[in-house]
This record gives sequence, C-alpha cells and structure tokens, in this order.
Amino acid sequence: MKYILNLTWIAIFLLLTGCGKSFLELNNPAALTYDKFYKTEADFQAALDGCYFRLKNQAPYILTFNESTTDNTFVHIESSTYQQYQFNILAISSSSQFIQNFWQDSYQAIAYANLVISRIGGSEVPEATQKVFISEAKFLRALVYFNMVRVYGGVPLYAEEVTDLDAVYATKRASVDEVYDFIISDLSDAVNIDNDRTEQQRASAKNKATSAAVKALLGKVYLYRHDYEKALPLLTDVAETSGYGLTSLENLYNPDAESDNEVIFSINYERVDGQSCTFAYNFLPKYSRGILPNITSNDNGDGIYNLEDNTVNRFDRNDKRFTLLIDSLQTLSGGELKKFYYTKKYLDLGSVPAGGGYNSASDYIILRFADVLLMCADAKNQLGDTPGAYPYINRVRERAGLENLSPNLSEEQMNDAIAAERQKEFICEGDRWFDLNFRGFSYLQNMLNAFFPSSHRPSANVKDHMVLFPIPADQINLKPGVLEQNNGY
Amino acid sequence: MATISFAQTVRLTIDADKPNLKEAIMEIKKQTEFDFLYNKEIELLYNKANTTRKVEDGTIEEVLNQLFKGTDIHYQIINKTITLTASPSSKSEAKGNQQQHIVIRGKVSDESGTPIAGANIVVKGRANGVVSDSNGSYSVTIPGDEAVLVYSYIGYVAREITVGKQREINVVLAEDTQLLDEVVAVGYGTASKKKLTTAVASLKAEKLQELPITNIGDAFAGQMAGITAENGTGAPGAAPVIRIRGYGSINAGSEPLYVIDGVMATSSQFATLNPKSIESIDVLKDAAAGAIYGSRAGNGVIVVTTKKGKYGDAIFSANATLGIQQLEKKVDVLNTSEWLTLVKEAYSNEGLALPSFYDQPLSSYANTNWQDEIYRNSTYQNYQVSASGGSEKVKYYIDGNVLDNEGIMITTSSKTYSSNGSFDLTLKPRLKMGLSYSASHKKERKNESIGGAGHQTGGYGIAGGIIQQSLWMPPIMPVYEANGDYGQTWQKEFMPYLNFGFANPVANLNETHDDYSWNQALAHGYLAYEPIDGLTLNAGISVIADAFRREYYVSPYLAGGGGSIDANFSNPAYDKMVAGQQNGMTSSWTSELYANYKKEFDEHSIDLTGGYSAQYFGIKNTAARSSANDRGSANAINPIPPFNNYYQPSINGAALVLGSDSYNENTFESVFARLTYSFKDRYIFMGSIRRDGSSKFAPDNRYGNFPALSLAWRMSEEDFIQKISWINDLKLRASYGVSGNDQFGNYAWQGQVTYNNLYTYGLIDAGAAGTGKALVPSSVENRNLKWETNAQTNVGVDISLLNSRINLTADYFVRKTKDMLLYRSLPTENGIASSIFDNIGNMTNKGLELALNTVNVSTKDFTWSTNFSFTKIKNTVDEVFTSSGYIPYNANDFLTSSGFESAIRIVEGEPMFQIYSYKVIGTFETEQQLAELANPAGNSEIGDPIIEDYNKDGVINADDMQRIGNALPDFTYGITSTLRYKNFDLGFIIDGSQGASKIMTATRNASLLRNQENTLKIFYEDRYRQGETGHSMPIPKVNVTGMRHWNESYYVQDASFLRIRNITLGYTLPKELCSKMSVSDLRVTFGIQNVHTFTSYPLYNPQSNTHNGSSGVAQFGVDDGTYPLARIYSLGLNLNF
Repeated sequence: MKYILNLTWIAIFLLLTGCGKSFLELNNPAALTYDKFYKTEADFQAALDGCYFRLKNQAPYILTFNESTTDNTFVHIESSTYQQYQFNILAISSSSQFIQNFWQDSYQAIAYANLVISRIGGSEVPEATQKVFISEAKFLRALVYFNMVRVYGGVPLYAEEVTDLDAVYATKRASVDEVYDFIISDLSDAVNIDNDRTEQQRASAKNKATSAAVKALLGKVYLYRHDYEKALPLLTDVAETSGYGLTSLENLYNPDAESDNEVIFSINYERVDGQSCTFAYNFLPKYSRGILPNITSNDNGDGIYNLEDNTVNRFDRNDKRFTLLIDSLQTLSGGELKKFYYTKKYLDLGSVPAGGGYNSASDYIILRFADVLLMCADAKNQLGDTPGAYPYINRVRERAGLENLSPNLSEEQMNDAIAAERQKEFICEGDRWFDLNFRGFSYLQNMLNAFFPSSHRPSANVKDHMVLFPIPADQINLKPGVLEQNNGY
Repeated sequence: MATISFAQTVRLTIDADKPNLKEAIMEIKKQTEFDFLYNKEIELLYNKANTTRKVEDGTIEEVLNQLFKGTDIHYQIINKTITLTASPSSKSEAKGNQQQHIVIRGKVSDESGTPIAGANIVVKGRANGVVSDSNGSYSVTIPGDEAVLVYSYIGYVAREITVGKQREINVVLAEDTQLLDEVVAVGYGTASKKKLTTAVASLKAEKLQELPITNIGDAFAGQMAGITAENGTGAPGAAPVIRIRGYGSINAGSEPLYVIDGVMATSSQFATLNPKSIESIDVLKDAAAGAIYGSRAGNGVIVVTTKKGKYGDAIFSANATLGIQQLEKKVDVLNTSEWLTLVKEAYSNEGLALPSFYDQPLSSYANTNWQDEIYRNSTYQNYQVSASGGSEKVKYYIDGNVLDNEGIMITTSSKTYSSNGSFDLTLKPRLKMGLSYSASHKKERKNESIGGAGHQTGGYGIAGGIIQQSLWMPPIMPVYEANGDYGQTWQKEFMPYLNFGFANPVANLNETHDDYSWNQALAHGYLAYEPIDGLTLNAGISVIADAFRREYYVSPYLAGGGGSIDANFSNPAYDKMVAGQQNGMTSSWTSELYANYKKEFDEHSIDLTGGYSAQYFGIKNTAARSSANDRGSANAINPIPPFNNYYQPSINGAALVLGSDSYNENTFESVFARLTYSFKDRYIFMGSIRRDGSSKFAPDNRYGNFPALSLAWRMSEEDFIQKISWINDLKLRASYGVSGNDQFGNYAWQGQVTYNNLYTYGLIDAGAAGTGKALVPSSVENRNLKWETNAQTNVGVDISLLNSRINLTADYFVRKTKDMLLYRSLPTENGIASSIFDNIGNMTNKGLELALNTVNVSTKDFTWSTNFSFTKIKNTVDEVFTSSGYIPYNANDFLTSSGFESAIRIVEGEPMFQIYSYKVIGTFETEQQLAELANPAGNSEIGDPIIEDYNKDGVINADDMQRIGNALPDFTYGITSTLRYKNFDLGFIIDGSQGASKIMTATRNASLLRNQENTLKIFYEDRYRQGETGHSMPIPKVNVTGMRHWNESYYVQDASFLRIRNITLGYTLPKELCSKMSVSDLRVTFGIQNVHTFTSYPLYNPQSNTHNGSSGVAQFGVDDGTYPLARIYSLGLNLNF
C-alpha cells in the first residue's frame, strides 16, 4: 500500500514535469517570429511601414551619389577615409562603405516588400486591401530597383521571399534590361492602386504609393529607358489630370506647411527623436556649430554638403531658388574670412525643442510636380517637339520668378536648358548625377570634367568606367564567380 | 542521537521465564518509556522459541538481544519506539524450512583502535545490512555459518569475513591509502575508480582543505592533467576560465558543464562555491565519460559533490584565513628622468622646437608611478564554520562562509556570504530523501573601465581603460594639482602632441561608482526508493534562482569622461552625471527521474542506469540609464544636489535615455541509459546513450543522439601479472563517444520580426494620416541549424607500482568537432541578415595527458609525495567556411575597432587563434635601405621600423601580415608536492605553460612616444638612436601619424611561463595537546599564493585574457590590460572539535 502511495507520488512528479511537445517550443518575448507575424491587416500594415521606413536609409546614399560626385557640392573634410569625400573626388572604391551599405539597404527594402508580397496571399487580410498592399510593396520594390540599376547597373533580382539561402549564393546579376523590365512590370501592376482603395484609404494615402506616384515613377523609368513615347502620356497624365500642381517655394520646404499639393511622393519626417531627418545637419555649412540658431555645441554642426561657389553663381540673382533657398555663412578659416554657401531646403527653423537640440522635420521629396513638368519637357524635346517643351519648363521658371526661356532653342540647346533648370530646381535633392548620366555619359563627363579644375576639388576627374559605380567587393568575395564586378573596378 | 543516548542510558532488568512476548513487552514498558510495534507473526515466532531469558541491569539493547536470541526477530529502535520485524528467511522458516539463524556481534574499529561508527555490515549477497553504532558495536543476524560478512566504511578498505564458528567478530578496518579504490561521481551515480573505463580526474576535499586558495579555480591549476584553469583576470571575485582538453569550439562556447550535487549549474555558481564546502570534484574528460550528459558534455563535465554529513556525533569545524595581498608584478615603464630623455630625443628627431617647459631642473617635475597610485596592499579574509553528523535516520552537513576580498586596485572589492547544507533522511529502510542547498550573497565594487577599450561605466570610459592608462600616463603628470583637483587638464599646454584620450586613472576609479550584487540560490531535493534489492528509483528536482543588480553612477567630478575631462572638484559638471541600474533574474529548474539496477551473479556484475530529464533555463534582464547630459531637462537626473561627494545612483523620476531588456530562455528534454558490465572484475564494458532535445534548434533538428562505448581490461587481475609483485594495478582503457554542443544564442534558428520605429504618414500636427509601427524582419530563419558534435576517442592506461608508491595515468585522445557552430556570412542580397549562425566547420584536437603521482618517501616521521601533470594538445581547424581564407576572430570588442582587426585568425589547416601581424625586421638605418625596401606608408624615415614585405609585392599593406605565433600553448604542466615531517607539512604548487603568444594590445599606444605617452622600459632600452645600429625598436617620435601600423610584431610576445602558484607551510597540533584542549584536530598554516612567475612576458600576467565587453567571455590571445594577479600572504587556522 505504501509502495503504491510512493509510486503515486512518482507518477504525479512525472505528470508535472512530463513535458509535451510544446516544452521545447520557445519564443523570445522581445521579438516576433515570422509564423506569428504576417497574419492580420495590422501586421501587414506594420510590415509595409517597415518598407517605407527603409526608404529613409536610401536617402543619404542617393544624396551622396548625386550631390558629392557632381558640380553641386563639395566636402570640406578632406580625408581619404571620409566616405563622402571619396565620392567628392570620385575615388569610388568597391570596398567603399557607402557602396556596401547602399547595396545592403536596398536589398533590405526589397526583402521586406517581398515578404509582404509572398505572404499576404494566405493571410486574413481582405482581398481588396491585399491588392492595395501588394501594389504599395511593388511600387517600393520598383523604386529601389530603379535606384540600384542607375547606381550599379544590372543586379540580382528577387521577386519573392528568399526561402533557400543557398540559392542566394548562386543568383547572378540580371542584365540592365531585365531589371528595367522587372521595374516596369511592377509599376504597371501597381498603377491602378487608387481604384482598389476605399474613399477613406484614398484620403489617408499621404506619403504612400498612389496612382499618381506610380505613374510619375513609371514615366521616369520610361524616360531613363529613352522610351519617350511611353513616358510622355504617363507624365502628361500626371501633369494635367492628377490634381497636383506647383506650390510656392516658401511652402514647399517648410515642414509646417506640408499640405501643399506639389509633393507626389516623399518620406515624412517629424520633430521627434528617431523620426527626424537624420541628414539635415549634413546640409549645414562648415563651422555652423553654435552659430546657426538651435545648433548647440552638442550637435554636429560641421556640414558635409557645401555648395560649390561657381554653381551658386549660375543662379540668376532674382531666382527665388537662390534668394529663398540659398544662404551663406562667413567663417574665419585659416586666418581668412571665407564664405560658405548652403541650402536651406532641410533647415527646419521651427525645430526648437526645450533644452536645445535639433530635429528637422523637413521631408525628403522623391517625386514632385516640378519634376514631372521638367520630365514632360524632356520627353517632348527628345521626341523632336522642342517647342512643346517650353510650356513645361516655363511653368517651373515662372514659379522661381524668372522670365520665360528664350525662344527658338535647338533640341540640343533645349536639352542643356532643361539640365541647367533641373540642377537649380533639384539641387541637394539627389538628382544631378542621375540626370546628367541620363543625358549620356559623355554629357556628364564633359560637363563635370570642365567644371572640376576650377572647383574646390581640382583633382576630381570623371573616368569612363564611372558610368556605373562598383559592386561591393565584400559581396563579390562571398559569391566568387557568380557576382561579377563592373568594368574598371 | 537523542534516541541512541536514551537507549544507552536506560537500564532495566528482565526475567522472562515464559515464552510470552506480550508479557515480556509489558515488563519492559513498566520499566521504561519504550513502545512496541509488532504483528501476530512476530508473537508466534517468539512464543515458539520457548527459552528462558534473563538480564539484570542491562541496556535495552542487551535486554532485546537476549530476548530475541535464537529467533528470527529483528528490532529497530526509533526514538522511543521499538519495531519488531521478522527477517525474510524467517518467513520461509515459518513455512517449515529448518535453516539455522545466528546473531553475530562485535565491534568495528580502525587501526588505532578508535571505534568506527556508521560502518556497514552486510551479509554478502543481501542488500540490507546493519550499521555500527557510536561505539563501533553491531549485531547482525546471519542465515548460517557459511555466511560471509562484508565490513565497509568510506575511506577504508572493505573486509570480508566468513563467519564459521565465530559468534563475536571484532574487525579492524585499514585506512584506504590506494587512490584506486576511490569512488568517483560519474553522473547519475558513482563508480569505483578501479572499474572506470573512461578518463576521469578527481580532486578530493583533503587537497582543497590544505590550500589557502582564494577561489575554486585555483584548486585546478596544475593539479589535473588535461584541465586548465586560467586566471585571465585577478579582479576580486572573478571566475577563472576552466577548459577541459582545450578549445573544442570556436564560437559556440567551450565552457564545460558544471554539475553541483546533481544540478546542472553555471560557471558563476561554481565559482561562488567556497572550496572548503566541497567534498570532491570529478572531471569527466572524455566523451564516453560525459556521454550520460549527452549534448551538455561536449566540453567535458565537472561534477562537484559538496560535503555531506556522516554517521556519528556532531563534528564542528572552523576555518579561518587572513591574508595581506599585493600586486604580484609591476610593469617596468619609464620614470620622469627617462621619459624626459625620450621626449627631448623625439623633438630633436623630428626637428621640432622643444617647449621651454622641458628646460627646468628635474626636481621641479612630478615623478608619478601610476601603478603605485592605483594598486595598494589590501586584506583578504575567509571564514568558514560547519557542523556535520548523523544518525541512522538523518545525516546533515551545514556551513556558513564569509569571504572578504579587498581588491589590490583602489576602490575595488568583493565580499561573499554563503551557506551550504545537505540533509539525507532515511524515511524507511528502502526509502530515502534528501535536500541540499547552496545560497550566497555577493557584493562587488567594480569599474568597467578596468577591462580595456570599449568598457565603460555609464558610457563614460577612458580610452584603453584604467590599466592601460596607468602604463601610458606620463610620469611627469601629478595625481593631484596644487588646488586639489585631479591632475589632468594642464597637460594640453605642455604636451601638444598628447592627443590620444588621456585621463587620470585615479580620478576614474574614485569617481565612478559601480556596485554589483548577486543573490544566488541552488537547491536540490531527491527521493530514492528501493523496491527490490539492487533496484533504486530516483526522483530529483532542483531549482536555481539568481538575482542580480547593478547600480552605477558617474560623479560630476569625472562626468564628461574620456580624454577631455572637463570636470573636476573645482568645476563639477552636474549636467553630465550619469546614473543607471540593471536587474537580472536567472531561473532554472531541472527534474529528473532515473533508475539504477545493480546485480552480481557468479563472476558477472551489471550496473544499469536509465532515466529522463527535463530542464528549463532562463535569464531575463532589464537595464535603465539616465543622464543629465541627455537632451532636455525632463531627462535629467532629478534632483542633482550641488555639493561634494554626493553619491546618487537613483534614477527615480528621471526620464530614461536607455531602457533595454533581454530574454534568454531555453529548455531541454532528455532520455538516457547506461550499462556497465564487468566479468571477473577484469573485463569491463560500458555503453551509454543519451537522446537530447533542445529548444535552440528548429523542430526537425531538435533531437540529437549521443552514444558512447568504452572498455577496460584490468590486466593486474590476470594471473601472469599477479605474479609480478611490484605491479599493484594495471588497467588499459579505450573509449569512443559522441557529445554535443549547443552553447549559442537561444533563438538562433528562428526568423524574427522586431519593432524598428514609428513611421508617420502625413503631419502629426496637422492630424497624421496614420502613425505606423514599423516592424521588420531582423533575422533569417535557419531550420537546418543542428547540434555541433564532438566525437572523442580515448585510450588510456592506469598503472600503480611498488605498493602503490608510483601511480601513473596516461591518456591519448583525438577529439573531432564536427558541424561547428559559427557565423556564416551571407550575401546581403537576402535582405535580412548579413550572417547566420550555421554549422560550418570541423576541427580536431589531439592530446596527450600524463598524471604521475609518486610517494617518494614514506616513513613514520617523514613523507614526501609529488604529483606531476602534463598536457599537450594539438589543435587543427580542418575545415571552415570563409570567403577570405580565414575568419577574423573578432569576438573581442577591441579587435574590431583599431589596427588589430584580423590579428587573430581562424585559418583552415592551421591551429585556431593564429596571431598575425606585421613582422618588424629592424629599423631603417641607411638611406639605401629607405630606397630599396618597401616602406609602410611610403614616407618612412631613418629610424622607422622596417616591415617585412611578406608577399614581396613592393608594397606594405594588410596582405603582408604574417603568422607570428599562436594563442594556444604547445603544452602545459603542473607540479604539486607535499612534504610532511612529524607535525609539519610543506606543500607547493607549480604550473606552467609553454609556447603560447599574446598580443599586448594594452601597450599599443605606449610604443615609444607615439604621442608623448609613457612606454615600456624594454622598448626604451632597445630604441633606435642616431648614429647607432642594431636596435630593433623604432626611433622615438612625438607626432607619429599613419606611419606606424598598430599591429607590429613587437606587440606579440611569448607568453610562456612557470608560476609558483602556492607555497603552504602547515603545523598540526599533536593529538595529546588537542585532547587537552578538547579539540580533535588543529592545524595552522602560513601560505603564499602567486609567489612568483618566471616569464619573459613584459606585462602583468601571461595568462591575461581580455574580456569581451558584451558577453563577458574571456578571449584568447589578447592582453588589453586586465586586472593583475595578487600575491597573497596568509595565515590560516583549521579547527575540528
């Protein structure tokens, strides 16, 4: 009897510790697993938020690739180990941190979008919303591939979630055409996104992919493919029927007046730690520490992007883009009083948190109406309708307080005029290198090589292989024989 | 014991002339308070015996013995109750069997005649026996004259006696001097060392008792072959790094499994144990030995048995150790005069104008030896009291300890209060229960900045850490300024090239408060039941509950930290104070059920163990920090009173600027079985298997099977060896086993999604269109992740010669690690992670271990014994996944952040931890050399170092780094020796290591005035001087930029050493004196710990291993300046009464 009692105790002990299959299932409370996430509409919204958030990382690289490399800005920290300076003097190495990081950041955004696209099918998300989310993800994916193809050329393509890691080691670079086809296919799928949205969703689509954003981007992609016939109808559609228009320059860059109707797609920043524009400081002039309002000694006041004097001189003195958006700071430098020009596009003077500090809420604009107008002008001009380009370019000049462009320009002159207008309009917005390259690499080469000798960096020189930037060396090392380097690197 | 004394004191007279049990009992009850329990069967048995029984003035035992003489009735006295039972054979007799039954009485004593209480007396072939009482007396019933009685007691040689005609047998047991008869813990049971088939090393309490050791790790040093205990840091309370048979893994841990009284515990729990509370430590070295612990035994198992109570009166014991400690070795750096010489030379070498500040007479400058300022002589105290004893029913041991270690570095300290206890209860003859516990409270004051670069309290550290700073700080700088401020700000004026982050180490130590406390508890309860003879069922549950708390605070006189300390007594920076707290909780439970069956028949013996185990282990941490320095007044520590020496670790009311938490949980589930079979005690076979499931793997790969086989042949039992008188024991062993390793992140296989940040659509002020919480994937799922396995083959021999005066154990092993868990770099195209934890390498360790134990002299007055151990391990990385030909071993923070990256490499085909560096082959002495030889930066000058152009491409770059050494030693050894003359004894411990190299990253900035810092004397003496040749160190310069690499070969130094770890002189008070003082033993000792280290290694400790800041794991091959060892002079007292 007693033994039976003892055995009962042992049995109870067994039951207490006898652990089922679930005993070995453990999860980190501080993290979700894939299986638990990607289920509800809220989950996928959060996943999309993550994709949009990822674009914030793209901005600084796009800016460096376009501003530092060209006649727009110079970097005053002249150190060979300083990333932006390497681009500034066009010493772009395959082991550059920026080259590596942009590659990684781009693929992160792509992977996040792919997870949404691959997993939303079997989820609880209503079908109509699924379509919207997939379109948003495809727009984001296309935007990232568009940036990549312009930086690296053809890159490995991933159309869905990576489930087999070994396959990644074997995936080769797609050709430039394949990448563009992929982008065009994604954007074509997403173009009717607004139709899939409810009234309410349309009203709250600020900073999200919209039909207008998809069309504007697709138009730009066709433009870069030099397929002007396809680009023009998309761009004119946005220009004429989308309801977007030009706003005043005072409002365009004022974070407190964001409800303007010029911005088609942008990344939103707020005056909150972690949500503010991280690169706003970089556009402050050298030695601005403690000089500009709100920039205290605790903050990084030594800017990176100082405007080239000769480029500033290209602005008409009445150009509002000069009078309103460019300023200068006089500083003693090497015993000499020097003038440093800088852009005020990201300078959020409204940011005055208690106790100092500076959180700029200036948004990073990716697509805006003026860009669409100037792309229309380009498409018309490239299709041989040079006179047809005038109304578009003149609308942009008019807003800047300038007179109309002189008439009877040749196609080539119009091309130069548009390029010049774009430089002034989009300076410090991450457009210049791409835009010049779009006009032909020799166009870029001639323009910049003529400029550099009298610039702040006489040693810079655009060489033939720079039509593309290098593929990151560390990634080539991981995929030897599979991932191939661009010529010249 | 009350029972015994009552039973012994009461006397009674009985005259039972009739065979009537009831009457007899009535009579006893009349005279005493005893009660009886019995049944009808007993009464019948008694009554039919029909004899007269008479006792006058006898003890109850004498009366009962007389009463039941010639019957099969057994009695048992528990408190005041006497239970009468019939022996099993009597039942058969009751059925008519006419077997005879005889009671044998006698006494058990040792050779000196002292009675042995608690000795076991068993009739051979039966499971249960009797135990001798406190007088050594026993009485046992035997079935007949042919019975054989087995007398045994722990620590004595068991004796077997055939009864024959004897009715009183007095037995003398001889003390067991042969180590071979030791019992060792082998996991879920014990085994006789004689019958072991595997490689197990043991250390017994006596050894631990003799040494005035400060922590348990010291007990290992040099004592056991194949086991290393490295004191990587001498910080008070620091745990040593213990490795069994080298490093079996690169990234997954190489930490052995600790089993304390059956509880799988952590190394920190092991390190907190007081050495004097430990009965024995058994180290299961080969895979076959540890295989019963399966996956957990990949790096060997350390089985600790704490002290247990023994049968007998209470024994009280007191131990006290009082010591004074000092820095073991000072590093030779320059004094002010030498430093000025160097500075003047450097200015002249570079053609710089010497500031007039340096023209004053020598006596006008300070001459600070910073090492004298941060180290001190301090005290070391350890007290322990214990009580133990036991009766037939209860055995107990309980102790209390206090260990107070004032560190040798100012402000540091460690204090531990702990208690251990164990209670073993015999509830019923076949049912046992027990509890053991270990509980401690430890308090330490530390300073993160001691540990080297990247280690900072509250984010305010100083470059390189305090120990480095004490070596670099110019001796010309005073500790305190005339106004009482810490010396630190004036330097900028007179040392224009002092641009590295210099800071006063005394200020950092004094003004950083960093207090840690740990409460640790470990408890184990078990129930053991023996339903039939030989079969034991065990159920055990153990719980570990640890709590950790850290409070830190950086005062306003240091705040700002780093090289540009702006704050001081005269200008406190209240707005830069930092305070923070951390809390952590470790909880773990293990439940185990296992059965053991032992059976002997004819010449066969089997021992079968099988069971089930489940374990949960979890650590949860929370950390919060606040700083007045952080933006916004709302975040400031509140309030901050503006007065001196205010200590304010509180973050109450402050808005947090750093809040973090972490979760680490894992679970295990296992089944296991082991069979030991021996034939004629000569041929022994052991086979075991364990199946382990771990939560750390994906469902498909969760379980691993870990089998082991081993064989032993005790040749000495064979006739042909038995004829050789000088061979006492000879055993050959061979084993093969597989174990596993899963020491890595808990959720590594899972693809996880984490919160990234808020993402706002539209404008918050204007009514956001939506604020999204961005959630992004943070890790890649790796369902293929599986166990790292360790397959180990071991052959060994145990020899005992010349009356066991010479004992040799030799083992050769091959340990193959397969599917090594390492980070595998992923193409970033996967978009989620740049690396995953994966099984991507194989490694081999081949080793030879020798342990030689000799009794050199053994006379009545003089004994001398020596223990020698030797270990040689050859490591080879057979295969590793890498794109660059090697894996940079960057687990160390420091190696990722400066010129030393890739200095330690894992290269396929080579031993792990290869040290690579730029080999300096001299200094540029001629213009011709400058023109002809490749020079590092293209602008080298006369006197600068020549770096060998290893790949001969005419350029010096990272490709020219070459192998300079290896962080692992060629071999290690240890010698311990004990001499005893009459009542004096003298022991010493020596340990050594040969062939390892170390990178002295701690002196990276002290390489001959790179920026006006102090430098090593050996560098100074061998510096290039103009007009001289043959010096190997470069020319001193004050403004070196870019020309010199960090990682030159002169930073890599041979770390071979021979260390006299310990010398102890003891005196034991003669017995006669002891008894006069009514104590049983008294021993006084004088000891010196860390007596001297013979080495050419220039820094403090050739075993120094820099700790990784984030994981706290010691890393091999890098000396970034760790807390030096202390030499301790101590007086000790051991007292038993």
